[in-house]
Amino acid sequence: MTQVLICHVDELPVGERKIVELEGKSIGVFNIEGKYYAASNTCPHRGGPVCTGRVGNELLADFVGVGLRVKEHFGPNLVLACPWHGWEFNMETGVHLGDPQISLPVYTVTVQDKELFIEI
Amino acid sequence: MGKYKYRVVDSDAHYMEGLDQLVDYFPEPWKTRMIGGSGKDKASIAGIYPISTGDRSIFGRIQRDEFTEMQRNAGGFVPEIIPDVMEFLGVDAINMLSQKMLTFSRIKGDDERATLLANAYTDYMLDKVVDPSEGIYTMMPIPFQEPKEAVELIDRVSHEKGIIGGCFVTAGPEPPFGNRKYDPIYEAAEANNLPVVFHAGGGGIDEFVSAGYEKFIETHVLGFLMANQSQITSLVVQGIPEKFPNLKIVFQESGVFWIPLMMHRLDTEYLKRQSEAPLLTKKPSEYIKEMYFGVQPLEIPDELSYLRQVIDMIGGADRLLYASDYPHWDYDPPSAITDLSILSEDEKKRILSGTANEVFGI
Ligand code: FES
Repeated sequence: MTQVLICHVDELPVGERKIVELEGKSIGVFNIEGKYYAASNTCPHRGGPVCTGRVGNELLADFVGVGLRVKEHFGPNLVLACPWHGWEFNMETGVHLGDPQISLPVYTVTVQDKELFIEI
Repeated sequence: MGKYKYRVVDSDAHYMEGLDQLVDYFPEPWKTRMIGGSGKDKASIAGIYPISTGDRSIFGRIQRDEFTEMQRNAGGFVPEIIPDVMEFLGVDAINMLSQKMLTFSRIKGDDERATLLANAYTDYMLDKVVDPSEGIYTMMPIPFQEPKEAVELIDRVSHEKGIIGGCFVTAGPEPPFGNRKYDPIYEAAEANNLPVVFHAGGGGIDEFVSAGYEKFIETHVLGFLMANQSQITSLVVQGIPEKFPNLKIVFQESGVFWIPLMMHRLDTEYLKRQSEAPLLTKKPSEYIKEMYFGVQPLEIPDELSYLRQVIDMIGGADRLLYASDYPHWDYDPPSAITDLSILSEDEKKRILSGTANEVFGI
């Protein structure tokens, strides 16, 4: 594990993301509501630029009663959807929402002296 | 045990009832209509049942001489014929599904007919045909067009030993069977520990979903397959196995090669569109591997190892039930299983009777 400097925190304000090249890998770094995330930008499906995809909350549904329409709602987990074919990954863990055997590599982001580092 | 060294349970044969046999089990005014009684009401069979076109016997090429003989001896297709059918097939127990109910799903307008027929058929079968001590069973047709009445029928007869399942005919229900409209039926079936059996239909030339096919071989190859494909898709995507986790689900009469196709196709799309099946907690194929499948009409490829792979892909012999479909044109005798060199002895036993015991308790 090495700590690699990404940028000064001011260069990644809330709601923004950056795609960086580190050791030959394309990696996306996100600031979502003040929390930082980083993930591989190479989708395990067909190599799509997953970190350019939409980030949102996981869609959940509850079986609220026999004969009733299932109640859909957004859950707390943030997910990243690959723009090429829609594979969705948990932002935190990188695990595919439909198949726990599939995951997108994710990296820990740390802040030291107002600078962002990721561990790769 | 008869012809075979195995116990054999036929999970799907057909009872070829005539309307005249059901007459006494209809309420008025239908009873009078059926017998063409006094007054102005008189029903014809075509007025009650949708019929299916296409010549099953290939214009006389397929002959059931033994069946003709059985009917001659018994005086038609009457309950007394069943032991002869069982002996001919070499089966120890038989599940006889109504012949006429196979066009059930095409009852769309005037849906009272579905409830009438399902109740009359069930009562007739209970009264005159089923005999668990002789290994003779049936399934109630589910009048899904009227879920409330379907629940009443399930609650009324599920406790009968001769009733081993509730049958949905998969050709053409609108909406398809995953729709929440049918939830109460699944809830009742689960509560009554009644397996639900989705039986293919819909192979006729004229009523096929897409017009213009010229030969029955085309519409039958496609119709029975597509009917089951459409319903398994709806059930799985809408999360019926999640809503009713103890519900036993069986599919019948499309062979076995279609099952891995659906598993893999559904999984592939699910990985891309998981948010459209939000009740699921695992891949669609995992639910399918918890269902059961009647094997008839079993595809026998030149390279038997392909069939072996299919069986392995769908979760092994544990998922499979021997079914004859007798006396229909494409029936499979038990030798379709006993002759299969790719199966172990235990697997043959499982398919011929073990799975039926697990699912239907027979
Ligand atoms: S490349 Fe990402 S979903 Fe296909």
